[in-house]
Amino acid sequence: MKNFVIVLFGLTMIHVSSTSRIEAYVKTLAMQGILLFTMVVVDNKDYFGLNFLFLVIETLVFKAIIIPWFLMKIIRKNEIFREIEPNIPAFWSIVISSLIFGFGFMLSYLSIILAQDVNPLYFGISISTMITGLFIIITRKKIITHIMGYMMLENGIFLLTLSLINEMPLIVSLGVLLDVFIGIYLFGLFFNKIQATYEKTHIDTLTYLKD
Amino acid sequence: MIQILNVLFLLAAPFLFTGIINRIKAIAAGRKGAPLLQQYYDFFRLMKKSEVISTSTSFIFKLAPAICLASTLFAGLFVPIFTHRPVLSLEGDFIIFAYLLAFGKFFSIIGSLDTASSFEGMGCSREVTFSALAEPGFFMVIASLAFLGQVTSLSSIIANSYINQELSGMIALLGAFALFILILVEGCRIPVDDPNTHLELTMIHEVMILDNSGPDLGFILYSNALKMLIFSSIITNLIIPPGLNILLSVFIFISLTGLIAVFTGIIESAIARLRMTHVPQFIFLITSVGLIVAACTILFNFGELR
Repeated sequence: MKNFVIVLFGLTMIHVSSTSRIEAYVKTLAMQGILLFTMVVVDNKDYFGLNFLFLVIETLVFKAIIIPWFLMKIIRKNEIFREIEPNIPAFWSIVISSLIFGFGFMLSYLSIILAQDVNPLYFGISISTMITGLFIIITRKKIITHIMGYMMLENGIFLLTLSLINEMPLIVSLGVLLDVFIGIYLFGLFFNKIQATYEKTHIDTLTYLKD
Repeated sequence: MIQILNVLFLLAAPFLFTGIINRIKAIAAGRKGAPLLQQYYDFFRLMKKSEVISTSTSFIFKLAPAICLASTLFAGLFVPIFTHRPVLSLEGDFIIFAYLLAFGKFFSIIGSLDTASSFEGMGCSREVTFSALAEPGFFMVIASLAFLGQVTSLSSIIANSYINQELSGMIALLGAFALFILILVEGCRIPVDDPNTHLELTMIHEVMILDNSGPDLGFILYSNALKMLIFSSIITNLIIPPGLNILLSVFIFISLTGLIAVFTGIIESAIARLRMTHVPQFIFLITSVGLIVAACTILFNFGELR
């Protein structure tokens, strides 16, 4: 079950690098939240602790509902409906993300030899999710896609902690949540300011900023 | 006995498969639709017609449709149909299978290039590009399934990857997903190519057969439908567990094949044809999924998944 969920998680990343609709990104983020929630539920042994409650709130409520809803609201409010305009053709985007997946799996194969208590599939997919997230940030032009690439990177880190430690300490999940919170908060502020000043949500405007 | 049934099924069923797809599309569009057997009537009508052959063509043009059909039928003999026992089987025959299909495609391409029409040349160029992109994906999926079972013939590869435990089930499902995209690509169905279109800008496969008429056109339509049926039988046998009672196995096989046809019809009526520039990335999905399948099998065989 959990291997199946983790492979589905990998497929969502491939979907993201091949699609060109901005709403598909938000839906994929929500889907990833639900997959992480399933993984936490399947993996966990103690269903009544504070830690488990916290993980459920973090994955289901924050990652799967609140953040996608907030992003969707910003998209609707700022009327960003067009495609995501990558810097490179979409075909090369999916080729490169496949190469990244190959690289991640190679690393995870090495990790089986070196460290015995690492789950190789978790490790490979989380590494490749993180690098693909970075890749999305690099190649897409819109600010809102940058923040979504960042969220995917964050999901990859969450997955990595699941693969390294069987039970995630409360302080780690607090750290992850704080990161996400600050990212979204700053983004909301930043975004509305730019919208008020420039009427355009493109990173090209940022290169011409002056005093 | 079962081998005779296999051959009969291969000969008889292809147009029923596309007939179901067309009926589902008609129902989804609110039409009554052609009868399920309409494609057979069309085929026999084409067989009775005489053909018009362009004066600029050579013998290749007349030969190509027959070779295409023959090699597709030959490839079909390697595929297990009702049970996991095909008509022909030898070590490493999945490579023969892939290259027989490629051989048929090659002949249909040079046949249409032979007409010296630049329009058909454009269609050939697209067809070659897309099948070149689809081929590594097919090999990736089949080779990793072969690696999973440590066997090399197509039928035993398929027999070894049924849903008996979590991992092989996952691999079989992912492989089925990749092969389903391959059906849409090889059968020239909607997200890639529209079989009903006659708009010059978007035609891929239809443009290659503009000059064919009569029995030749019938052969090409037949081999195209046969190709879809072959890939759908591979998918079906990936899902059916081996060692079932023959009657039960035949029943499951036929209903699953029907389900795949219905599903293809639903996909075709639900989504629009992709823009030509977006088709390569859709086809590359097969390779990406194949990569994940390969990684899962390698991780499984070397350092068992924990």
